Amino acid sequence: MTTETPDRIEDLAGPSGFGDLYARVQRFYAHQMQLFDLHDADGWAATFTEDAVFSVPTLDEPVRGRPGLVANVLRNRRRQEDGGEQHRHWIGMLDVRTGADGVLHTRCYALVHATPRGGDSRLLRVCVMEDELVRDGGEWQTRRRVVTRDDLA
Amino acid sequence: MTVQTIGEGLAADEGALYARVQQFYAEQVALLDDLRAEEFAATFTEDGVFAPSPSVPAAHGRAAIAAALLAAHERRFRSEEVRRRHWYNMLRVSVRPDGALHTRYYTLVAVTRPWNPVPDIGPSSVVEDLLVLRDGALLTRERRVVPDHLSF
Repeated sequence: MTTETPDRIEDLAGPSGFGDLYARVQRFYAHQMQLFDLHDADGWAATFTEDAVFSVPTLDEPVRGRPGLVANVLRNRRRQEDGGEQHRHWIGMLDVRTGADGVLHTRCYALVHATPRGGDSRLLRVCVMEDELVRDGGEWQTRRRVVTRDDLA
Repeated sequence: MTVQTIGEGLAADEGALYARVQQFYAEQVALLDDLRAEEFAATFTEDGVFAPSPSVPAAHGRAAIAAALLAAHERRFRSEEVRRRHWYNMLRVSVRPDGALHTRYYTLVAVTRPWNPVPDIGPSSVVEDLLVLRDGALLTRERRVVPDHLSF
């Protein structure tokens, strides 16, 4: 019996290119979540495909297409302007898998941290987020998103 | 000393750059949380700027940055024994035309006291940095922190 010793960095790093892909997906989500928290409705919607489907438990039915996504962000902005809280979406434990036709399937945990004006921050929600990502030119876009909330699951 | 350009080849090495910046912050935050003030300040450029909150004046230069870090800790915790862990997440990195990196990320601080396993978490903040490459190493040229409770 032989013991496999991963004595080269290529072996330790796993399949060629995965580290680069993983970092790019992390970066994509940082960009996308910050646009969401900034209430940049058009910028955020542009990180989804034109026909994207977005499903969250707080909506009666999934949002389909960018106009619905934009409306969702504008609603969030109005809520904050009406004396609401600053929300920050944190994701972690990101699982990235490559599927057929170059589609990426991701699954991660998402925390929502809320801070009122002049008050203490607190953890508001714990969610799980599953995405399908596709390439549009050089950029990833979300084609399908399903978010579940631990308190409603 | 000249500022080296990081931007060249970014398209091909986007992932590598992103991982490098994460590694830089992992090293820097350990110095911050261990209150190794002079070593933390040395991760800034000589003329670095550190603005830990809109409500206090920014520190200019390494000596001032080290002093500001210790003073802020003393102001908040006095002689209380606490262990702080800054946690950075949702890191955005963009390369400016002059080759500096502009980053924007979220932070939380977990504060733990002796014999109490339940930490205090917060405040939630947004940090924007300018990072430059000097002699092959990343350094912070400017840091501006805005806690969420003061942000709107």
